[in-house]
Amino acid sequence: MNRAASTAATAAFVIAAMGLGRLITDHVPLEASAVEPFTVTAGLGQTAALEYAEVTVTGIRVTPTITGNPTAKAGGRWLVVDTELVATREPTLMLGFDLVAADGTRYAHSSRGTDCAINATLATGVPWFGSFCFDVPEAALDDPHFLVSRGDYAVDGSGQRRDGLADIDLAIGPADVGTLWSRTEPVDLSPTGVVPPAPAEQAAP
Amino acid sequence: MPSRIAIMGDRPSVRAVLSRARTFAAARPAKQKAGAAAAGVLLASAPFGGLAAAPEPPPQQLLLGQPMTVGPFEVAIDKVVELPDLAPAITPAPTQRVVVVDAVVTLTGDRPEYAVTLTNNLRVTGGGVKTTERPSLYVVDDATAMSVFNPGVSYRLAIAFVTDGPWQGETATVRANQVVFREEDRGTLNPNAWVGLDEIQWQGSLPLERRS
Repeated sequence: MNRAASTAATAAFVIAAMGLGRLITDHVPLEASAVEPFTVTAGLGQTAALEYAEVTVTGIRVTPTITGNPTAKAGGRWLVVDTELVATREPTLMLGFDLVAADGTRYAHSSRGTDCAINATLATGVPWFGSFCFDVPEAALDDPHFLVSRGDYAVDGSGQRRDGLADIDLAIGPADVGTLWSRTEPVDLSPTGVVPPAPAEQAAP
Repeated sequence: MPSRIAIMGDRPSVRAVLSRARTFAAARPAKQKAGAAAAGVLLASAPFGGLAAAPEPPPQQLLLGQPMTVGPFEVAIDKVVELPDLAPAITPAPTQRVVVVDAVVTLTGDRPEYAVTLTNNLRVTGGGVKTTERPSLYVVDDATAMSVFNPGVSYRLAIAFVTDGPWQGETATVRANQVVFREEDRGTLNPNAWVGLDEIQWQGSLPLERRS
């Protein structure tokens, strides 16, 4: 092969390599696959099996008042999400517990109630029970979902990237909102931990 | 000693310099002459503040019952009260006092926010005493501490400052800094955050109630 042909072949190879690189960056969704959590959906009373834990919402309650010392009164209404968690592989600290309304608005849980859960430290295979308390406006009661993950939401969901996320439909429809909002009975919470709560607390809406 | 003639020979006279400058200026185009004149006027105005930065706009007037916006929060102050304590939330030393800004606070943003976004940017001054740098927030209805707000929910809060002694005077000056939303902050690597500036956006001298 003479020198001119060798140069032309090298140039053709470089151009082909650049074209292939462009094809890859144009058609492979690199960013999408890098940041999205791996979501497992479930309904009220069903278990979402994540890679590292099982998540079950055993009941929800809506009230203006959570009893305790001190009693906690809601600015809107407390949406209490009774939750059972089991770490399936290793001791696990779970920090992400958020409520997301139908319009995508996210709500944070509160520590104002004495027995409201903040996070969960799970021993492997040992069921953990806790109630997460969300102080929300009426609009948030329309079709809310409870999102559970190891990492907290942090900045724009950065703590939940590329990790398992449970998306639990709390089964509240538009017709239920008015009834739930008008409830006035105070709610008593069981302490957070490995002791199962009393059966009377396991109430569906 | 050098002679006068020798000195004049080394340096051009003032008159000669002015003459050459006048000739040079006369030869400039009209646009350059106008620019030079404007620069001269600006320079001449320097002793009178011509080169000073534009003054900051004065803070907006803060009044009782009037909502003010502090970043994502809407705050309407009902009253300012001095108390010996705010039990069970705050029980200070006997020599200290608690000054409470009683306000209705609503998060008008579209995501949860920590209370520090508000408490970092509210101050009470004017009583001749030292106050805590940052106030604590308590829900008036139940005395629980408020650390996180959800969108669209309103609370009547005690915004509590501990002072090192009795407040002097019958008014308290409440100030709120301007808080802006910063989508990108290369300094802190904390994007999409509310950031308080060192600029007072709201200020008002409010009557102080005393309770024992």
